[in-house]
Amino acid sequence: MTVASKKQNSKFSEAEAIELAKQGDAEAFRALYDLHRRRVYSLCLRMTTNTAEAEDLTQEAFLQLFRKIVTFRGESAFSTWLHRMAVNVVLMHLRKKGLQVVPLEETTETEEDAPKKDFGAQDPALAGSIDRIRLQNAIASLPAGYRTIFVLHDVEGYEHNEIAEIVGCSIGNSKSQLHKARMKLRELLKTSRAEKAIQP
Amino acid sequence: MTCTEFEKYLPDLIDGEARSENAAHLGECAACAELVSDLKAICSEARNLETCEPSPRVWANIQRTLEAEGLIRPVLQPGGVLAEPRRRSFGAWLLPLTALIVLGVGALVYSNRSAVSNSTTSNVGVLKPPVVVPRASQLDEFDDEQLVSQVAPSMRAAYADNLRNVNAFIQDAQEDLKLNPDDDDARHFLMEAYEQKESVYDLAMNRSAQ
Repeated sequence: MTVASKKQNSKFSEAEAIELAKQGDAEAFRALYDLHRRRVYSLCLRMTTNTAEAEDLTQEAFLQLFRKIVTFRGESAFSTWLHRMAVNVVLMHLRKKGLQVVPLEETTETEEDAPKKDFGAQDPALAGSIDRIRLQNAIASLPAGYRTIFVLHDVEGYEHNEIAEIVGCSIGNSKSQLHKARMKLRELLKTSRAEKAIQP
Repeated sequence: MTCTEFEKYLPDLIDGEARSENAAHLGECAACAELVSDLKAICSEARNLETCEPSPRVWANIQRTLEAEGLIRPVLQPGGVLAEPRRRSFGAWLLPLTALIVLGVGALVYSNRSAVSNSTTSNVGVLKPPVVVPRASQLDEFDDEQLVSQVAPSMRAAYADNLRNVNAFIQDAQEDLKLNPDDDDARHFLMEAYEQKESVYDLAMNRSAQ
Protein backbone atom coordinates (compact mmCIF):
# COMPACT_ATOMS: atom_id res chain seq x y z
CA MET A 1 0.00 0.00 0.00
CA THR A 2 1.39 3.39 -0.86
CA VAL A 3 1.32 6.01 1.80
CA ALA A 4 -0.62 9.11 0.85
CA SER A 5 0.43 12.23 2.64
CA LYS A 6 0.23 15.03 0.18
CA LYS A 7 -0.14 18.75 0.29
CA GLN A 8 -3.36 19.85 -1.24
CA ASN A 9 -4.31 22.87 -3.26
CA SER A 10 -6.44 23.99 -0.29
CA LYS A 11 -5.16 26.17 2.47
CA PHE A 12 -3.79 23.40 4.68
CA SER A 13 -1.96 20.08 4.41
CA GLU A 14 -3.47 16.75 5.31
CA ALA A 15 -1.73 16.79 8.69
CA GLU A 16 -3.08 20.26 9.45
CA ALA A 17 -6.54 19.25 8.27
CA ILE A 18 -6.51 16.26 10.60
CA GLU A 19 -5.61 18.38 13.62
CA LEU A 20 -8.22 20.99 12.77
CA ALA A 21 -10.85 18.33 12.11
CA LYS A 22 -10.21 16.97 15.61
CA GLN A 23 -11.28 20.39 16.84
CA GLY A 24 -14.41 20.31 14.72
CA ASP A 25 -13.32 22.62 11.92
CA ALA A 26 -15.79 22.28 9.06
CA GLU A 27 -13.34 23.27 6.36
CA ALA A 28 -10.87 20.71 7.62
CA PHE A 29 -13.45 17.92 7.32
CA ARG A 30 -14.20 19.06 3.81
CA ALA A 31 -10.53 19.14 2.91
CA LEU A 32 -10.02 15.57 4.10
CA TYR A 33 -13.08 14.44 2.22
CA ASP A 34 -11.92 16.12 -0.98
CA LEU A 35 -8.51 14.53 -0.67
CA HIS A 36 -9.77 10.99 -0.39
CA ARG A 37 -13.27 10.87 -1.80
CA ARG A 38 -12.42 9.52 -5.26
CA ARG A 39 -10.38 6.61 -4.03
CA VAL A 40 -12.89 5.60 -1.37
CA TYR A 41 -15.83 5.90 -3.74
CA SER A 42 -14.05 3.98 -6.48
CA LEU A 43 -13.27 1.17 -4.09
CA CYS A 44 -16.90 1.00 -2.98
CA LEU A 45 -18.14 1.13 -6.56
CA ARG A 46 -15.85 -1.61 -7.81
CA MET A 47 -16.77 -3.92 -4.98
CA THR A 48 -20.53 -3.32 -5.14
CA THR A 49 -20.97 -2.44 -8.86
CA ASN A 50 -23.86 -0.19 -7.81
CA THR A 51 -23.53 3.60 -7.75
CA ALA A 52 -26.23 4.24 -5.16
CA GLU A 53 -24.82 1.64 -2.79
CA ALA A 54 -21.31 2.91 -3.42
CA GLU A 55 -22.33 6.46 -2.50
CA ASP A 56 -24.07 5.31 0.68
CA LEU A 57 -21.04 3.27 1.67
CA THR A 58 -18.68 6.14 0.90
CA GLN A 59 -20.76 8.35 3.13
CA GLU A 60 -20.73 5.75 5.89
CA ALA A 61 -16.97 5.23 5.65
CA PHE A 62 -16.25 8.94 5.99
CA LEU A 63 -18.72 9.36 8.83
CA GLN A 64 -17.10 6.51 10.73
CA LEU A 65 -13.73 8.07 10.13
CA PHE A 66 -14.79 11.55 11.21
CA ARG A 67 -16.47 10.24 14.36
CA LYS A 68 -13.23 8.52 15.34
CA ILE A 69 -10.79 11.11 14.10
CA VAL A 70 -9.94 12.30 17.60
CA THR A 71 -8.43 8.88 18.24
CA PHE A 72 -6.08 9.05 15.27
CA ARG A 73 -2.52 9.23 16.59
CA GLY A 74 -0.61 8.98 13.36
CA GLU A 75 0.88 5.53 13.91
CA SER A 76 -0.17 4.61 10.40
CA ALA A 77 -0.89 6.74 7.37
CA PHE A 78 -4.25 8.45 7.49
CA SER A 79 -5.13 7.17 4.04
CA THR A 80 -4.39 3.62 5.12
CA TRP A 81 -6.66 4.03 8.12
CA LEU A 82 -9.46 5.48 6.02
CA HIS A 83 -9.07 2.90 3.32
CA ARG A 84 -9.18 0.01 5.73
CA MET A 85 -12.31 1.49 7.25
CA ALA A 86 -13.92 1.77 3.83
CA VAL A 87 -13.08 -1.84 3.00
CA ASN A 88 -14.63 -3.02 6.26
CA VAL A 89 -17.75 -0.98 5.60
CA VAL A 90 -18.13 -2.51 2.15
CA LEU A 91 -17.46 -6.06 3.30
CA MET A 92 -19.97 -5.73 6.11
CA HIS A 93 -22.50 -4.50 3.59
CA LEU A 94 -21.82 -7.40 1.25
CA ARG A 95 -22.13 -9.89 4.07
CA LYS A 96 -25.45 -8.37 5.10
CA LYS A 97 -26.65 -8.85 1.57
CA GLY A 98 -25.77 -12.51 1.88
CA LEU A 99 -23.03 -12.39 -0.71
CA GLN A 100 -20.08 -14.72 -0.25
CA VAL A 101 -17.25 -12.28 0.17
CA VAL A 102 -14.60 -14.94 -0.39
CA PRO A 103 -15.34 -18.51 -1.42
CA LEU A 104 -14.12 -20.62 1.47
CA GLU A 105 -13.48 -23.73 -0.52
CA GLU A 106 -12.66 -24.34 -4.11
CA THR A 107 -15.46 -26.83 -4.46
CA THR A 108 -18.19 -24.28 -3.66
CA GLU A 109 -17.83 -22.39 -6.92
CA THR A 110 -20.14 -23.27 -9.77
CA GLU A 111 -19.00 -24.56 -13.09
CA GLU A 112 -20.06 -21.27 -14.62
CA ASP A 113 -17.92 -19.28 -12.21
CA ALA A 114 -14.81 -21.38 -12.56
CA PRO A 115 -12.36 -20.10 -15.17
CA LYS A 116 -11.82 -22.47 -18.02
CA LYS A 117 -8.43 -24.07 -18.18
CA ASP A 118 -7.39 -23.54 -21.71
CA PHE A 119 -3.73 -23.86 -22.31
CA GLY A 120 -4.20 -24.23 -26.02
CA ALA A 121 -5.86 -20.88 -26.63
CA GLN A 122 -5.94 -19.84 -30.28
CA ASP A 123 -6.92 -16.22 -29.55
CA PRO A 124 -4.38 -13.43 -29.88
CA ALA A 125 -2.71 -12.19 -26.72
CA LEU A 126 -4.54 -9.60 -24.62
CA ALA A 127 -1.48 -7.48 -23.94
CA GLY A 128 -1.88 -4.13 -25.64
CA SER A 129 -5.57 -4.61 -26.39
CA ILE A 130 -7.21 -4.24 -22.98
CA ASP A 131 -9.22 -1.05 -22.75
CA ARG A 132 -10.20 0.18 -19.33
CA ILE A 133 -13.93 0.24 -19.97
CA ARG A 134 -13.94 -3.42 -20.93
CA LEU A 135 -11.79 -4.26 -17.95
CA GLN A 136 -14.11 -2.39 -15.61
CA ASN A 137 -17.10 -4.18 -17.09
CA ALA A 138 -15.32 -7.51 -16.77
CA ILE A 139 -14.48 -6.82 -13.11
CA ALA A 140 -18.12 -5.97 -12.48
CA SER A 141 -19.09 -9.30 -14.05
CA LEU A 142 -16.93 -11.35 -11.70
CA PRO A 143 -18.59 -13.35 -8.94
CA ALA A 144 -18.55 -11.36 -5.70
CA GLY A 145 -15.85 -13.46 -4.05
CA TYR A 146 -13.41 -13.19 -6.96
CA ARG A 147 -14.20 -9.53 -7.37
CA THR A 148 -13.43 -8.70 -3.76
CA ILE A 149 -10.01 -10.31 -3.81
CA PHE A 150 -9.10 -8.93 -7.23
CA VAL A 151 -10.12 -5.37 -6.35
CA LEU A 152 -8.31 -5.47 -3.02
CA HIS A 153 -5.09 -6.92 -4.47
CA ASP A 154 -4.68 -5.83 -8.04
CA VAL A 155 -6.62 -2.55 -7.98
CA GLU A 156 -6.12 -1.31 -4.44
CA GLY A 157 -2.74 -2.86 -3.78
CA TYR A 158 -3.34 -4.82 -0.59
CA GLU A 159 -0.97 -7.72 0.10
CA HIS A 160 -2.29 -11.24 0.63
CA ASN A 161 -1.56 -11.20 4.34
CA GLU A 162 -3.61 -7.98 4.67
CA ILE A 163 -6.45 -9.40 2.58
CA ALA A 164 -6.47 -12.56 4.66
CA GLU A 165 -6.82 -10.50 7.81
CA ILE A 166 -9.48 -8.21 6.37
CA VAL A 167 -11.77 -10.80 4.82
CA GLY A 168 -11.05 -13.60 7.25
CA CYS A 169 -9.47 -16.21 5.03
CA SER A 170 -6.07 -17.86 4.73
CA ILE A 171 -3.23 -16.40 2.68
CA GLY A 172 -3.35 -19.47 0.48
CA ASN A 173 -7.05 -18.98 -0.17
CA SER A 174 -6.47 -15.33 -1.03
CA LYS A 175 -3.80 -16.30 -3.57
CA SER A 176 -5.94 -19.05 -5.02
CA GLN A 177 -8.99 -16.84 -5.41
CA LEU A 178 -6.92 -14.08 -6.95
CA HIS A 179 -5.53 -16.45 -9.54
CA LYS A 180 -9.01 -17.63 -10.43
CA ALA A 181 -10.25 -14.04 -10.64
CA ARG A 182 -7.48 -13.19 -13.08
CA MET A 183 -8.13 -16.28 -15.18
CA LYS A 184 -11.84 -15.48 -15.26
CA LEU A 185 -11.11 -11.91 -16.31
CA ARG A 186 -8.91 -13.17 -19.09
CA GLU A 187 -11.73 -15.34 -20.31
CA LEU A 188 -14.25 -12.49 -20.09
CA LEU A 189 -11.96 -10.08 -21.90
CA LYS A 190 -11.26 -12.51 -24.71
CA THR A 191 -14.98 -13.24 -25.08
CA SER A 192 -15.78 -9.54 -25.08
CA ARG A 193 -13.13 -8.86 -27.69
CA ALA A 194 -14.39 -11.70 -29.88
CA GLU A 195 -17.96 -10.41 -29.64
CA LYS A 196 -16.85 -6.94 -30.58
CA ALA A 197 -14.93 -8.30 -33.56
CA ILE A 198 -17.97 -10.02 -35.08
CA GLN A 199 -20.31 -7.05 -34.64
CA PRO A 200 -21.20 -5.33 -37.88
CA MET B 1 7.44 -29.47 -16.27
CA THR B 2 3.92 -29.78 -17.64
CA CYS B 3 1.51 -26.91 -18.13
CA THR B 4 -0.66 -28.12 -15.26
CA GLU B 5 2.35 -28.13 -12.94
CA PHE B 6 3.38 -24.72 -14.22
CA GLU B 7 -0.03 -23.28 -13.39
CA LYS B 8 0.58 -23.89 -9.68
CA TYR B 9 3.38 -21.33 -9.76
CA LEU B 10 1.46 -18.79 -11.82
CA PRO B 11 0.12 -16.66 -8.94
CA ASP B 12 3.59 -16.13 -7.50
CA LEU B 13 5.09 -15.62 -10.95
CA ILE B 14 2.62 -12.87 -11.82
CA ASP B 15 3.36 -11.19 -8.52
CA GLY B 16 7.05 -11.15 -9.26
CA GLU B 17 8.50 -14.31 -7.80
CA ALA B 18 10.62 -15.92 -10.50
CA ARG B 19 11.88 -19.50 -10.49
CA SER B 20 14.36 -20.95 -12.89
CA GLU B 21 12.18 -23.94 -13.76
CA ASN B 22 9.31 -21.59 -14.60
CA ALA B 23 11.49 -19.60 -16.93
CA ALA B 24 12.54 -22.78 -18.67
CA HIS B 25 8.93 -23.84 -19.25
CA LEU B 26 7.99 -20.40 -20.53
CA GLY B 27 10.74 -20.62 -23.04
CA GLU B 28 9.37 -23.90 -24.33
CA CYS B 29 5.60 -23.33 -24.15
CA ALA B 30 4.01 -20.55 -26.23
CA ALA B 31 0.57 -21.04 -24.70
CA CYS B 32 1.82 -20.58 -21.13
CA ALA B 33 3.97 -17.66 -22.21
CA GLU B 34 0.90 -16.00 -23.68
CA LEU B 35 -1.11 -16.79 -20.55
CA VAL B 36 1.51 -15.11 -18.36
CA SER B 37 1.61 -12.14 -20.70
CA ASP B 38 -2.20 -11.77 -20.57
CA LEU B 39 -2.38 -12.02 -16.80
CA LYS B 40 0.38 -9.45 -16.35
CA ALA B 41 -1.42 -7.11 -18.73
CA ILE B 42 -4.62 -7.46 -16.70
CA CYS B 43 -2.76 -6.67 -13.47
CA SER B 44 -1.04 -3.70 -15.03
CA GLU B 45 -4.27 -2.22 -16.36
CA ALA B 46 -6.03 -2.87 -13.07
CA ARG B 47 -3.44 -0.78 -11.22
CA ASN B 48 -4.08 2.10 -13.60
CA LEU B 49 -7.86 2.12 -13.49
CA GLU B 50 -9.17 5.62 -13.04
CA THR B 51 -10.99 6.70 -9.94
CA CYS B 52 -14.57 7.92 -10.08
CA GLU B 53 -16.26 10.95 -8.60
CA PRO B 54 -19.14 10.60 -6.15
CA SER B 55 -22.10 12.93 -6.53
CA PRO B 56 -22.26 16.12 -4.43
CA ARG B 57 -25.06 14.63 -2.33
CA VAL B 58 -22.51 12.41 -0.56
CA TRP B 59 -20.73 15.37 1.00
CA ALA B 60 -24.02 17.15 1.64
CA ASN B 61 -25.24 14.16 3.65
CA ILE B 62 -21.95 13.85 5.51
CA GLN B 63 -21.96 17.53 6.42
CA ARG B 64 -25.56 17.43 7.57
CA THR B 65 -24.86 14.42 9.77
CA LEU B 66 -21.70 15.94 11.24
CA GLU B 67 -23.61 19.10 12.12
CA ALA B 68 -26.49 17.13 13.59
CA GLU B 69 -24.06 15.15 15.75
CA GLY B 70 -22.28 18.31 16.85
CA LEU B 71 -18.96 17.25 15.37
CA ILE B 72 -18.67 20.50 13.43
CA ARG B 73 -18.32 23.68 15.45
CA PRO B 74 -18.99 27.25 14.23
CA VAL B 75 -15.96 29.11 12.93
CA LEU B 76 -14.58 31.73 15.34
CA GLN B 77 -13.35 35.05 14.00
CA PRO B 78 -10.45 36.89 15.62
CA GLY B 79 -11.54 38.25 18.97
CA GLY B 80 -13.62 35.19 19.69
CA VAL B 81 -16.70 36.54 18.02
CA LEU B 82 -18.82 33.90 16.44
CA ALA B 83 -19.15 34.56 12.74
CA GLU B 84 -22.40 32.85 12.01
CA PRO B 85 -23.26 32.64 8.37
CA ARG B 86 -25.74 35.22 7.20
CA ARG B 87 -29.12 33.74 7.60
CA ARG B 88 -30.28 35.00 4.31
CA SER B 89 -28.96 36.38 1.12
CA PHE B 90 -30.11 39.92 1.38
CA GLY B 91 -30.18 40.34 -2.34
CA ALA B 92 -32.90 37.70 -2.32
CA TRP B 93 -35.16 40.06 -0.44
CA LEU B 94 -34.98 42.83 -2.94
CA LEU B 95 -36.59 41.22 -5.94
CA PRO B 96 -39.74 39.83 -4.29
CA LEU B 97 -40.14 42.95 -2.18
CA THR B 98 -39.77 45.21 -5.19
CA ALA B 99 -42.23 43.05 -7.10
CA LEU B 100 -44.71 43.34 -4.25
CA ILE B 101 -44.35 47.09 -4.17
CA VAL B 102 -44.78 47.35 -7.95
CA LEU B 103 -47.87 45.17 -7.76
CA GLY B 104 -49.08 47.26 -4.88
CA VAL B 105 -48.63 50.45 -6.88
CA GLY B 106 -50.40 48.90 -9.84
CA ALA B 107 -53.29 47.78 -7.69
CA LEU B 108 -53.45 51.19 -6.09
CA VAL B 109 -53.67 52.93 -9.44
CA TYR B 110 -56.38 50.52 -10.58
CA SER B 111 -58.45 50.81 -7.42
CA ASN B 112 -57.97 54.58 -7.38
CA ARG B 113 -59.50 54.85 -10.84
CA SER B 114 -62.36 52.55 -9.79
CA ALA B 115 -62.99 54.53 -6.61
CA VAL B 116 -63.05 57.80 -8.50
CA SER B 117 -65.48 56.46 -11.10
CA ASN B 118 -67.78 54.80 -8.55
CA SER B 119 -67.90 57.34 -5.80
CA THR B 120 -68.58 61.02 -6.19
CA THR B 121 -69.60 62.26 -2.79
CA SER B 122 -68.73 59.63 -0.15
CA ASN B 123 -65.29 59.48 1.47
CA VAL B 124 -66.15 56.77 3.96
CA GLY B 125 -63.26 54.39 4.63
CA VAL B 126 -60.95 56.09 2.11
CA LEU B 127 -60.04 59.60 3.05
CA LYS B 128 -58.22 60.21 6.32
CA PRO B 129 -56.56 63.27 7.70
CA PRO B 130 -53.04 63.58 6.30
CA VAL B 131 -50.38 61.83 8.39
CA VAL B 132 -46.79 62.92 8.69
CA VAL B 133 -44.61 60.01 7.59
CA PRO B 134 -42.00 59.30 10.30
CA ARG B 135 -38.50 58.13 9.52
CA ALA B 136 -38.56 54.39 8.79
CA SER B 137 -36.07 53.59 11.53
CA GLN B 138 -38.46 54.99 14.11
CA LEU B 139 -41.49 53.10 12.90
CA ASP B 140 -42.76 50.28 15.01
CA GLU B 141 -45.59 47.77 14.97
CA PHE B 142 -48.13 50.33 16.18
CA ASP B 143 -47.24 52.59 13.29
CA ASP B 144 -47.53 49.69 10.87
CA GLU B 145 -50.97 48.80 12.19
CA GLN B 146 -52.06 52.39 11.88
CA LEU B 147 -50.79 52.53 8.32
CA VAL B 148 -52.59 49.37 7.27
CA SER B 149 -55.79 50.63 8.86
CA GLN B 150 -55.58 53.79 6.80
CA VAL B 151 -55.57 52.12 3.40
CA ALA B 152 -58.59 50.80 1.59
CA PRO B 153 -59.81 47.44 2.91
CA SER B 154 -59.15 45.82 -0.46
CA MET B 155 -55.48 46.76 -0.20
CA ARG B 156 -54.85 45.96 3.45
CA ALA B 157 -53.70 42.39 2.92
CA ALA B 158 -51.14 43.47 0.32
CA TYR B 159 -49.78 46.22 2.55
CA ALA B 160 -49.67 43.95 5.56
CA ASP B 161 -47.66 41.47 3.51
CA ASN B 162 -45.33 44.17 2.28
CA LEU B 163 -44.73 45.40 5.80
CA ARG B 164 -44.13 41.89 7.12
CA ASN B 165 -41.51 41.26 4.46
CA VAL B 166 -39.75 44.56 4.84
CA ASN B 167 -39.73 44.25 8.63
CA ALA B 168 -38.12 40.82 8.36
CA PHE B 169 -35.57 42.32 5.99
CA ILE B 170 -34.84 45.07 8.50
CA GLN B 171 -34.52 42.60 11.36
CA ASP B 172 -32.06 40.41 9.46
CA ALA B 173 -30.03 43.41 8.42
CA GLN B 174 -29.95 44.73 11.99
CA GLU B 175 -28.75 41.39 13.37
CA ASP B 176 -26.12 41.09 10.71
CA LEU B 177 -24.84 44.59 11.41
CA LYS B 178 -24.72 43.81 15.12
CA LEU B 179 -22.52 40.80 14.43
CA ASN B 180 -20.43 42.60 11.85
CA PRO B 181 -20.39 46.28 12.85
CA ASP B 182 -17.56 47.05 10.44
CA ASP B 183 -19.19 45.38 7.47
CA ASP B 184 -20.14 47.95 4.83
CA ASP B 185 -22.44 45.51 3.08
CA ALA B 186 -24.41 44.93 6.27
CA ARG B 187 -24.79 48.68 6.75
CA HIS B 188 -25.82 49.15 3.13
CA PHE B 189 -28.46 46.43 3.36
CA LEU B 190 -29.92 47.94 6.51
CA MET B 191 -30.23 51.33 4.83
CA GLU B 192 -31.89 49.67 1.85
CA ALA B 193 -34.31 47.91 4.13
CA TYR B 194 -35.29 51.21 5.77
CA GLU B 195 -35.70 52.80 2.35
CA GLN B 196 -37.97 49.96 1.31
CA LYS B 197 -40.11 50.54 4.38
CA GLU B 198 -40.28 54.25 3.65
CA SER B 199 -41.44 53.41 0.13
CA VAL B 200 -44.22 51.26 1.50
CA TYR B 201 -45.27 54.08 3.79
CA ASP B 202 -45.05 56.64 0.99
CA LEU B 203 -47.26 54.53 -1.22
CA ALA B 204 -49.80 54.10 1.50
CA MET B 205 -49.74 57.78 2.42
CA ASN B 206 -50.11 58.88 -1.18
CA ARG B 207 -53.11 56.64 -1.48
CA SER B 208 -54.60 57.89 1.75
CA ALA B 209 -54.10 61.50 0.79
CA GLN B 210 -56.05 61.17 -2.45
